[in-house]
Amino acid sequence: MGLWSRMIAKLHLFGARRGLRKPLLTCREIIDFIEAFRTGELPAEQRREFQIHIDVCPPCVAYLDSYQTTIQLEKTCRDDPADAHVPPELIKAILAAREKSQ
Amino acid sequence: MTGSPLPSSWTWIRLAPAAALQNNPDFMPSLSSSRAVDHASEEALIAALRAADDDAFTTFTHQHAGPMLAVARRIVGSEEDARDALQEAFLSAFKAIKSFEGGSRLSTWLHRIVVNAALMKLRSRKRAHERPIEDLLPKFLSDGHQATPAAAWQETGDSEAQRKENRALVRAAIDELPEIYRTVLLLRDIEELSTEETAEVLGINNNAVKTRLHRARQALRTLLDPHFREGP
Repeated sequence: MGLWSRMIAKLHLFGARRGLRKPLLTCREIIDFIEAFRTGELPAEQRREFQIHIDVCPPCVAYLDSYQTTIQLEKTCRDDPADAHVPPELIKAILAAREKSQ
Repeated sequence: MTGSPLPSSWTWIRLAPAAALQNNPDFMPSLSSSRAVDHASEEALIAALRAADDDAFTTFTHQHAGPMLAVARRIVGSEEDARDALQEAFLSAFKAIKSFEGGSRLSTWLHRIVVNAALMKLRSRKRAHERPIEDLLPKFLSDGHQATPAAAWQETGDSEAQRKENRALVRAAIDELPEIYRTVLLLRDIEELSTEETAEVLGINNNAVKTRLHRARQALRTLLDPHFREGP
């Protein structure tokens, strides 16, 4: 984490603790907003707060990383060559059903 | 962590856009043979299908049955239902070929028909046991902190054996999701339909698709967490 990000995060926390500004996004909000952040739909101010939060919250970083890995793992489901094996009798049945339906 | 706004370990990948079916080289590898068929050949095949040419139907079925059976298998789970769905989808496609307008690839058009047939099959069967989605969503304290702080995950491995093992784990976990969440996750993340297409197929609005997809991914993450988290 860079010095500048750390300073901004500390200023936000300082302000929030003294009621000078509304609190930073909570972990609950970070996890609620993942998709909006990923797709760029999060408004600029919330996007900035999102980034500040994750700069100081390792559990949220771990959550977001594992959320991303979950999506990557899902993709493995579609590359099983065994899935595309078609029994010849099924092709015959499809073509026979077509003839029958005519 | 670095000074950049996001930790360097993150690889935020936007999901493929709506037209991924045609353009994503990773999508259903077995479609590559049909992708190689040039535009003119596909036009000729479509013309022959419209003219009810028997050879054309045989070619069409041989070309597409494999990748489309894979789609049906992913959605319905049961082999018997997948075969039934495929047969019904092809018969629907044969009947509808005259109305195919050619605005998309034949494979994209057929994919949509197979998805619909598989979903119909899915709706016709009752699932024995479903866990409530709330059990699988993250829990929070009253101040908004994670009740059980998430731990980092280990590398998932890239060898073929590891991928096979991961695939089995992920499939089993997806099967545990409640049906309305499982379906959205399959259509959006695995079949790569757009939010709009998914909403249309399922008869729900775009916001419902987005909400269900996020919850489905959170639930899936919860189910996979014990298998991938680092440490004891």
